Amino acid sequence: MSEKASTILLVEDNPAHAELIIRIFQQHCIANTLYHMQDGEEALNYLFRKGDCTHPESSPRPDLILLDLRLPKKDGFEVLQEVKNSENLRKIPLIVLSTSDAGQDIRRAYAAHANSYLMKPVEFQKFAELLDRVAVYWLHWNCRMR
Amino acid sequence: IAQRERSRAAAEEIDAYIDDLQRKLSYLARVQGFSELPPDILQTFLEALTRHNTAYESVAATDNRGRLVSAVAPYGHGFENDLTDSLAFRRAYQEHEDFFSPVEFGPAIQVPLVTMAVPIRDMQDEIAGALVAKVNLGFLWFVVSKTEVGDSGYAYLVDDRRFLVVQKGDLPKTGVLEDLSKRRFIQELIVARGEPPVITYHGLRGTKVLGTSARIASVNWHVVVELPLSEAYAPVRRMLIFIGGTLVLAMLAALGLGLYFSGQAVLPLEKLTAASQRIQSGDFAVRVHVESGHELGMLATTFNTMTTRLQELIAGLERNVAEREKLIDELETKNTELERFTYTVSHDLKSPLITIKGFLGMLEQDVLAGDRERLETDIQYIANAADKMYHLLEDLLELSRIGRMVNPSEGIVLSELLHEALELVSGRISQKGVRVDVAPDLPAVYGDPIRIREVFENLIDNAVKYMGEQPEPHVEIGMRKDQDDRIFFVKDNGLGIESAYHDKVFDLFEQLNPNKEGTGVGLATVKRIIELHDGRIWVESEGMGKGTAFCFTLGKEKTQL
Repeated sequence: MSEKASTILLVEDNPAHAELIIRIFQQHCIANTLYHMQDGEEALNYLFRKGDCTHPESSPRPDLILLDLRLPKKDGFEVLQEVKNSENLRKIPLIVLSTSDAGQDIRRAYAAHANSYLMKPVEFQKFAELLDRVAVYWLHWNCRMR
Repeated sequence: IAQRERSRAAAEEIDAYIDDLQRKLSYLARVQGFSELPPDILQTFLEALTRHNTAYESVAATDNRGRLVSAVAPYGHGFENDLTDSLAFRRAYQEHEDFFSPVEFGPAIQVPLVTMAVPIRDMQDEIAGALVAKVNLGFLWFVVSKTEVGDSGYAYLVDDRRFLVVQKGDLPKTGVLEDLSKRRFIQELIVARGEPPVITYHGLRGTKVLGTSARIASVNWHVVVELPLSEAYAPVRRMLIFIGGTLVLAMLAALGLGLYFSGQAVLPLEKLTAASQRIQSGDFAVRVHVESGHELGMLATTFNTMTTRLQELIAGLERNVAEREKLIDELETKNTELERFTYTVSHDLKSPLITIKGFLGMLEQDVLAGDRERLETDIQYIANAADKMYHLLEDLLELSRIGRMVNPSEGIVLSELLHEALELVSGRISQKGVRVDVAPDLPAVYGDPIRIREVFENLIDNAVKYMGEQPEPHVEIGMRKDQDDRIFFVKDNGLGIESAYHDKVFDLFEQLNPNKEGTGVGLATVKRIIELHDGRIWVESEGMGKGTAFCFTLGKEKTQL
């Protein structure tokens, strides 16, 4: 596994889930840098470099976006839509990571050009395995834009 | 017709008169041996005759040769001594006929005369001479004159030659009789047989008249009666005027009656028609007022009853439809809510479950690594998630309970109720050092006291919870009037809410701040309670850091005390 420096943007409102994901990534040595945003507005500010995140160095372009759907303020779908409407940001792989298995959510996400839709497994082992495979696939196997 | 009667009466009178004169002569003529009577006796007879009727101008008896045997002429207009050649003698003696001469004017007196002659007989009943009499027709003038023909009408007499003999108002002065035989109207009036006609023509005196005639049978003379048209038609004109006047009156009466009946019949009908049209266009409040006892009045009453009944039926239907629509609305709302509920429940219950399972997995690693500090943190994550699940279930249960308002509505003293509510959240209030002000003059309200208390409890709790880093946290509870509405409010000087989220905050499981405790059910519960009280709730906030006011009403005036 080549250890290229990679940046992940995690958009997750549930602090416990965020903690869980971050810890799994750390244990699996997946990401050099992980930025965690708690709601849709924060995430968009980060991505569009607005509000508190105007400095490019403090908010580098992520190599992967992990996006929860049910978010306070602006929800995951709004974030998804704005990212995919942006000439620059739409190239970043965006993976929906949600507790929801509702068909309408899945359809809506793909319709908005989500690159993948993943459901958070309840079992811890499966959750860890899922995140590991995601990182391997999207950050190592999948050819990135250069 | 009156003319005909008059002419006939005049004719009959004249007829009887002439007949009488003739009969007297004939009577003497039938006496056997009249011609052989001694002259003095004969003279006596003749004198008696002239005394009997002054019309006998002169009477004479002749022998068989026409010489006068005896003669009486009381007025001095006698006969010539020899009548041998006269027509009268010849007719009577030679032809044994009664003779009646045409009318002529006497040579001495200006009166119309006729000469009559009858044969007389000797003892052997042989004709032995003639009795001749000149008759003064003056009396005819009298008869004609007294024949009343209206005011301006008149009668006249024509003889068998159609010569005008006498006419009303005029004593003949000349010795000439006017010949009328060529006059067309005379030819038309005097017909051979049958009823003489009544015709219109230019009469004897040149004016237009209505005329008729009557025959004098004994002598074949005619009485003609003429009435000027101007007078003849006067009665007709009067009749016409009368009839016309009557007609006009009748028409006026008819018009009046028509107007009256139009008031009685047509106007009510028009009212009914207009009312029907209004009903057709959906106005069922229309009533017809007809003041009358007849059929139309009854019809109007029936109409009104029908309309009232119709209005009731339609109102009932509309009520039913409105109730049903309200029910459908409620069901749709509930259905949407339920879908949303199952969706969010699956998410919101799954979420802590993932946390619990995840950190349970972490615990294993912590134990293996002997990292005690992390162990405690992870246990805390698990405990929090479990708590969250518990609260979520509690709140959901509560929300499901509000749907059925168990407690009956009653008058509520708000100050007491607020006191209870503040007690329930006093822990958090004192913990955060929040100052709470309650307006002193809050009115009484009508509703479910437990639910209303829940509303205030939730709103106060919310205000305290989202106070932020406010150095002087303050919550104000009060009421303001806006037109007819009484608006209650719970106002804080805390974090505030951006306008984009003013509606969203009331959605189930909606939480603006992920770091705060809470389930996202509280405001949904509050909204449900307010709506069950026919009120509405909304947020007033100028944005982040500007504080928040939750405002609500409680139904209409009738539900308020």
